[in-house]
Amino acid sequence: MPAADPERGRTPPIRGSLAAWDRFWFGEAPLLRLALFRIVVLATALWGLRYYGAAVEQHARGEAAAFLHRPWRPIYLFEALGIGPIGPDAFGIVSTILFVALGLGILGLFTRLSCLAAALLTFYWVGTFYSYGKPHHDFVALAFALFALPFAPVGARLSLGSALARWRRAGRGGVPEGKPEVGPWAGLPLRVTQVTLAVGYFFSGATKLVQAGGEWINGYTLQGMMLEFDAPWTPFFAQHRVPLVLISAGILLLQTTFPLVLAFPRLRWVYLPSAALFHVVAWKTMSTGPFVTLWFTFACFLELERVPGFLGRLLRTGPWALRLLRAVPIAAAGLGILSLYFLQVPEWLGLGLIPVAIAGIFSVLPSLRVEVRHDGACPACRRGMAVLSSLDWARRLRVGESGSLLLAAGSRGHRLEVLDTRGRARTGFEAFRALAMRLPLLFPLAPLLVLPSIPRLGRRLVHKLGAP
Amino acid sequence: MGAALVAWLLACPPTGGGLPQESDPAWERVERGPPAARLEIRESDGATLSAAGENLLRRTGRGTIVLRCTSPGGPGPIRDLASEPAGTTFVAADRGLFAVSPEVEWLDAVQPVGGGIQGKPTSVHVDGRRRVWVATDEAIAVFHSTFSYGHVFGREDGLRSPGPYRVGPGVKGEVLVECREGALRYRPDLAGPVASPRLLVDGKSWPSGALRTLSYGDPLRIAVDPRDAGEGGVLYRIDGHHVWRPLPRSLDLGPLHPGRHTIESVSSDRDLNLSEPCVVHLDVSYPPRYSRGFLLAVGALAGGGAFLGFLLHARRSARPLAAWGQASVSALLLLAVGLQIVAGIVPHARAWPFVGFSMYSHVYREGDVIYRTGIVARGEDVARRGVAPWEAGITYDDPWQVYRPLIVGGDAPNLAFLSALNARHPGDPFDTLQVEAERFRLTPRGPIRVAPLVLSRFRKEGPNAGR
Repeated sequence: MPAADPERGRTPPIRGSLAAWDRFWFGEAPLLRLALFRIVVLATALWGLRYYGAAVEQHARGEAAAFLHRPWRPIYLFEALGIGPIGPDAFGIVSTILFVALGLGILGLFTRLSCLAAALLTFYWVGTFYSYGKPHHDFVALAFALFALPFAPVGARLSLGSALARWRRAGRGGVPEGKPEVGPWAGLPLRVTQVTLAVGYFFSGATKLVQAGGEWINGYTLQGMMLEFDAPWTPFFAQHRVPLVLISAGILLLQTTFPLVLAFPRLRWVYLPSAALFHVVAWKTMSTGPFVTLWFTFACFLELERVPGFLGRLLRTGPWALRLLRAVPIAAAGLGILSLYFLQVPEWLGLGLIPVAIAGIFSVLPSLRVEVRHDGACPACRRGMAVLSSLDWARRLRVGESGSLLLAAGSRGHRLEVLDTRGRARTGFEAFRALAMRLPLLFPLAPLLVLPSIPRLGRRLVHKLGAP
Repeated sequence: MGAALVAWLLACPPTGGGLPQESDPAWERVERGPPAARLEIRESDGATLSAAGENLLRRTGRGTIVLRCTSPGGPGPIRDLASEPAGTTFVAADRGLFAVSPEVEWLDAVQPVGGGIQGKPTSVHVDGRRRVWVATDEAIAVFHSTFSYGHVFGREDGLRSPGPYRVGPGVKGEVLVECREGALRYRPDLAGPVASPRLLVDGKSWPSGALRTLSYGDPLRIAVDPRDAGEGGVLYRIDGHHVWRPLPRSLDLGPLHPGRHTIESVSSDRDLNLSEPCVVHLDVSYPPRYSRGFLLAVGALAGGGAFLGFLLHARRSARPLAAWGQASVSALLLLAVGLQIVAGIVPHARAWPFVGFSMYSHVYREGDVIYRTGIVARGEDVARRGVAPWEAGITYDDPWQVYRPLIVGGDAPNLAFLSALNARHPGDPFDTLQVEAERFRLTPRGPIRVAPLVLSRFRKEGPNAGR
């Protein structure tokens, strides 16, 4: 008897270009990568909301009309749809809904709906700003990324919605720690963003070649463009023509060949840093603005779910001097990105990064690994494990079922046991404290749990609650 | 009749037509011509410029330097110097008119739009309205301080005596002229208001303020009614541009972008006084291929076709609903990527997010001048410094959204900007605003900073209030 066909019920494989098309856009991709990308894109949109917010608000209120010329020249879609200038009331409503949609999308509640609302309103927001001035390129890739998100299972991981679903599923007898790893359509937003970036860079270079020809790299051109702006690095870069010839050639090469990164993903190691550097230099020499909304979308080229592990390996392996040498640029890049981000976003939102940073540190500390055992037959325990599993951002918990042994030991069957790498087992309040030391969101509580009298109170509380 | 004859006789020059006619009240003969050429001039606090042959020296408390010149042969022998209130010093020299300012160490040739005037400059004078009067051995001309337009005086302006000429300041703001046959005093601005020009749009007379609708790509010809040539010619600008440019007898405007546009045209008299503008509003519609109906039809056809194609491809799917969904999204993706490619080939920013990339695709070459415009503010006790528009508490897309009203909008926007600026900088009360275009000339030795163009100057109060 032949083995069961796991592919039964699925579309039979089709060869050819249309099949390649399907694989490219709708193939399976890691859901964790998609979730991280969702958070990056929405957080970037939040940055954009703030970046253009003051201008949109002033336009809406008609401020400084005496000396600020604001012709309303709508983008084509606004004109076609008959969308007019925003008023002060509409500004308040739109900004509130947009902020809420972005927040819900980042947290992962009603995720697809939030992403759709965020896409539509961000488009309206940015389109309004552009209609009072000139459209720019900084939001093109982000706009396409935002519109692509609702088509993918963006809420399957790293979302309150998925945690709640897991909690409910655990209560119904499902596996509490079960998280889907890959899913179809999960790569769609990443692909859409990749293609948009590739098309954009290619035409940036190609247009220069077609309209200006090889003369574009004469050095004077870049020199002149830099001199039009009073930016901090302009005096340094604009002084010498010969290096500018080389830089111009580099820019053309980077832009026209950027689509190669789609075919050869390893080239991202060259193209992404080069493009980021290009935008930083353009910002500092030509006052183009930081283009954060563009180069944060480079995340679409990264295997985001593997970044912590990759960085962890870099920092854990090799001689100490080498580790330190690696740590410096990593820390510098991290700080640079964060400082850029918080140029526009309120600092208090940075508190949300503390658990992420803790998770990053925990994820490179093998000694924090523990096994958590629970009573698999107990719905409350399974729900508890579902919650713990959702909080385990550093992936330090390994979940196991305790079976009859612990059931026999416990009086009510609501038992949970934490086993550390040395084989020590903890239950009750001590188990909770051990978990607090390993779960980033609970970690701020951990110091409190060792204060005098707290353990005694904790044990009483656990006993009163009857679990574990 | 008899009185007219007497007037005509009185107006006739006594020696057969050399000196101007007294019938033109702006001109009169005087005993003394312009003062001697100024070869030393106070440039700024603590700095003087002095001419020594072909060299221009700057003396400051730190020493003396010889200013260099961006023209390969140098300026030639220097004949005269004149400074304007905004800080630029003009240098009349044998090889042309040059400009320098306290922040730069290079003389740079001034090139008026239209080629300037013939002959070797002999003298230069800047009056209180920042008009630059230049005399050469062959002609006299006056230019707007941006050198975007000007007027060369001729016989029809009452100047009948041949050169060589020299110009200089009079006591009461008039211009003193020395010519071959004696000295003259020219009093500008005596004529009344300048009449607005009448424009012909595509050959038909066009009333000011009227709206003309046309489709994208339609030809458009603007011409001046031959009856309205104006002494100083007719100038025009599009969409409130800060620079007036001479309007040729007839101008074919290339395809204007879809949307609203404004063409303004003014007459200028010989003293560069401008008339009220004659305004032509244009409403350029999108070409038919961008009309809502056409795009919807094409989009529906393309999207529908793509959808059907993808649906056909997925027909063997075990989940028909999923196949329909995938086909729909595939069609959307094909459209989105296709439109991105079309936008890259036929760039048009207004189609955002389907945009082209023609920015930064122009070319600069050796010798080109680069303009970097900004606002400079200063106060009675506050040193001159650059001010970004956002320092007045505003956000904007393009700084020209602020510069342009300051340059062309008169006193009101300048006062409003100063108020907003001072409200945010109470410790630095500014009273003077200038919109300046810093200029850099591209050379093989690197960019050379040359005298800026002062596009507008406003002073809030005090003896030199206004522009």
